[in-house]
Amino acid sequence: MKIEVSQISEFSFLIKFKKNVTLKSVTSLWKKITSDPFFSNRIIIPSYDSIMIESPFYSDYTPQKFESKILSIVNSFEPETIDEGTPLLIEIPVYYAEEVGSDLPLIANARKKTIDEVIKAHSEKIYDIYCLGFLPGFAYLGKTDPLFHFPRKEKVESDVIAGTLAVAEDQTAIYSLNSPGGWHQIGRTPIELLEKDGELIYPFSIGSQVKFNPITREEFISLGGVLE
Amino acid sequence: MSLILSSSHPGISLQDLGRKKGRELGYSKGGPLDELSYRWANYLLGNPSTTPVLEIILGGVEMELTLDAHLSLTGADLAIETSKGVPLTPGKTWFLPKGTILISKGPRVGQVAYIGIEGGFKRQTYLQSVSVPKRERSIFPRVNESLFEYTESTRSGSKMIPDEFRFVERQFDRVPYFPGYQNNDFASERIELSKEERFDRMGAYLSAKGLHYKGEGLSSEPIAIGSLQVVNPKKVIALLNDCQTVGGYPKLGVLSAFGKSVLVQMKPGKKFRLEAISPKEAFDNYWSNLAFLT
Repeated sequence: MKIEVSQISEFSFLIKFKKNVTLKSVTSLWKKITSDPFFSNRIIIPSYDSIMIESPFYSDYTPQKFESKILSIVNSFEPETIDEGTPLLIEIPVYYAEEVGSDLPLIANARKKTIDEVIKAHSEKIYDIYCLGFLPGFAYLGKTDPLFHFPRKEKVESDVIAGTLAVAEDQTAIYSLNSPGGWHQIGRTPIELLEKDGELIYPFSIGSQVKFNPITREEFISLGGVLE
Repeated sequence: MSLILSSSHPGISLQDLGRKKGRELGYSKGGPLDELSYRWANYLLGNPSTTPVLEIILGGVEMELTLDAHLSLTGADLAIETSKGVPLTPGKTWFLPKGTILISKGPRVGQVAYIGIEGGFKRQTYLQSVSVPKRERSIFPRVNESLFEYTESTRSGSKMIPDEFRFVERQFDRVPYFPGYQNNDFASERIELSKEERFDRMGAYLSAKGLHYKGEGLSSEPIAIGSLQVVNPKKVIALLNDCQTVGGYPKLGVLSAFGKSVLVQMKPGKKFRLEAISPKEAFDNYWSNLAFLT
């Protein structure tokens, strides 16, 4: 496995997996770095095939010391020897329907499936969390069934409602905040992903897993869901 | 008890050096767009470098001081004057009595100004920072961006930024950056950039000439503040402090901290080129220009 380490700003280094990257590899290395006391007060952001480590203005920081420590971890990294155990499974209720997921008919028609078949294909899978970003608590989940593989919309919608479940390419995600968005909308969860003052309701983290459980309109409303 | 805006203003926010946690969950970093001017605002007053400072983008605002204030004004000249017509030139400290009304008419030189206050503005921190990006305001509903509390100042004094450290008035034809990310996948010898009008805390839009990306499609990857994201061959976005934490567009590299200060203060329409610097130069540049301001 080839891994490159490069300094990308005064205080940031990028670790990039160059070939044959797997979610397990990235997750394992991310856990190894975050568990090292040297990096306990650093900002560490994992993504699909890379990890960024940043030092926020500490007087003990020097790029040389930082790089040396990163290289010592990367060079001794052997992902196949690490047993991650059973990943955490997070279950989220979702009301799949056209009134909260306006692109459901488009997907069904394009794939010559019924709406129920589309919902079943999406909700029966267990998805891995590949990274978080775009919005606070916005988890990129994959990989979806090929019937959901549509490119992002050419015209971004200006105000996608928080809680909306959507798909794009081979990914799926819930919009954690009201936001512009170009993914195809297929449903909505009544659960807010973010508490006031910033805590995540669900412990989303790279390497954890998510399953969506279909609920009825009545259940959606009783759980506090908003139709529009 | 405070500095009060006559009306809310999208370009005004309280900033410290930004969040030290939460970015792995998708929270933006926050912090000053022009870190150099931010640090001078505190340095002139003898405040620690992490003290909260008011950031004003483009001006066009009226504010009232309800207590005596020993304050500093750094960064852009946003034509700030008192209601009695006394101009407040940037780069120095002022002692202003309670009841003073400050009016900013708009940018004369530079784009972003900082008002520091002796002892600092007070606010509860979230994610270890007072900075709350605009798109996250619904998560932090108690944050009020039109009322900024401070403690009454009892001493005055007059300090100025030495001429050799004033950079906002200078014209820069080269902006230092650190080539990185997909820089080697751009087939270009001479990249010409021009700053556009569109500019906020998430990013500064740049018109480009001479950019040709020859690399492959990318998975989303972590974004360093100051990244130069190439949206298409004619458009680059310099990602600033309230930007998203991951993104899948190719990037030319990352502006140095000083380069970011230069870019955000640059007037729209200004043409410039990027000047590649090494990791050592970037770090030395940081310490010589910024870090001594503690």
